[in-house]
Amino acid sequence: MKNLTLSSIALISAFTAATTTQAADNRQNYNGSYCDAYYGSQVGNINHQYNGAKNTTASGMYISCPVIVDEASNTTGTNNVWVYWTGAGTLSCSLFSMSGSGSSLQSQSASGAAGWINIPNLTTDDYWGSYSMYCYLPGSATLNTISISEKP
Amino acid sequence: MNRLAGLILAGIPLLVASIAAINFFILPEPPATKPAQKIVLENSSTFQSELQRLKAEIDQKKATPIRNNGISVAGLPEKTAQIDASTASMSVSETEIADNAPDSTSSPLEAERENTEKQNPAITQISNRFLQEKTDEYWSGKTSDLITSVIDSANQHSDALKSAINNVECHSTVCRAEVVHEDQQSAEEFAMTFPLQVSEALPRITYQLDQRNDGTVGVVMYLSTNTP
Repeated sequence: MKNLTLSSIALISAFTAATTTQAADNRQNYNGSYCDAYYGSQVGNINHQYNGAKNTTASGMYISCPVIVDEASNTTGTNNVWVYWTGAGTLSCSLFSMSGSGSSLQSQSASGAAGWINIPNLTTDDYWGSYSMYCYLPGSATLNTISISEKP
Repeated sequence: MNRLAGLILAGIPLLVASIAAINFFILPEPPATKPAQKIVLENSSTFQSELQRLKAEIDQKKATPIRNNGISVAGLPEKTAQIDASTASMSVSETEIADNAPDSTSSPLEAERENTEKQNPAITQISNRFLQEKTDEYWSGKTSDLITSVIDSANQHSDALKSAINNVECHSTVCRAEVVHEDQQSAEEFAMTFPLQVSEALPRITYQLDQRNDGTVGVVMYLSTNTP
């Protein structure tokens, strides 16, 4: 019983300490499985796997990935965004900041071979708007991870 | 069974007391910023001199006879003028703050109304950069051709993409292009494909929507390199 009590204390205390000393990093990492085919007719060609969204066809396709604005009052855009993918060829992605009515405010684009690709920062976004990301995913490739943080 | 229940009952207060002790002795206290500020203020000579000035002013007011019978109050006109002046300056600064605040209005409808009246600050910034830039003839020609050829090529190969360039002008790191899309669908297709096609030379695009009543969608784009 004593051991159980001490273990409980240690566990609860460790949790309390971890939550009270949480770092101020607001980076959000998304599993790529959030992404889906841009065109409705191609939705069945994406596998939403545990490790990302996989293009099951041999041809490239456009995919759309929702990314969340978690600090609406910060309207100065993002820090650099990182996307990890696996496959052959080149992945190209555009990150958009949108107004609430869905019109584009700004976009940043980048391309690269498999691994991490870096999309430079957006400099503006809208209090009521959102972010969106399109990518051209080569055939049989998988978009694994999106890592994004907003400017403070 | 009774013994077990007794042990559990005895264990709960022990658990609570232990957590409290750990939180008290081990976890760091939040930084005491407010008291520290107070100490600095109290020790500062500015604060002391301001305190003395206020005390002197109160003493002076106490000594001044006030006849509050509706006819005259000593020093009132001067004080009224001072208050008016400070109120006027306060209202100006509040207006300035409201103008510079982000679009954190209470509803998206208000924000939409404001956005139609106000220019996206990023547009102002990039258009100023464009206007101030000198023209690099080589870069300007090469990049203008790229923009034109991407749009022309897309129009030839896709039925859905029907966009026309009204004007393209490139300086040394920024281009300004006016594009008109036949309809909303064409504009959406364009938004998806075009940035990827020019991304190597012009990764950043800042958009200014041109509202039109005839169903077409006009967009002014500032395309730029990522150099500041």
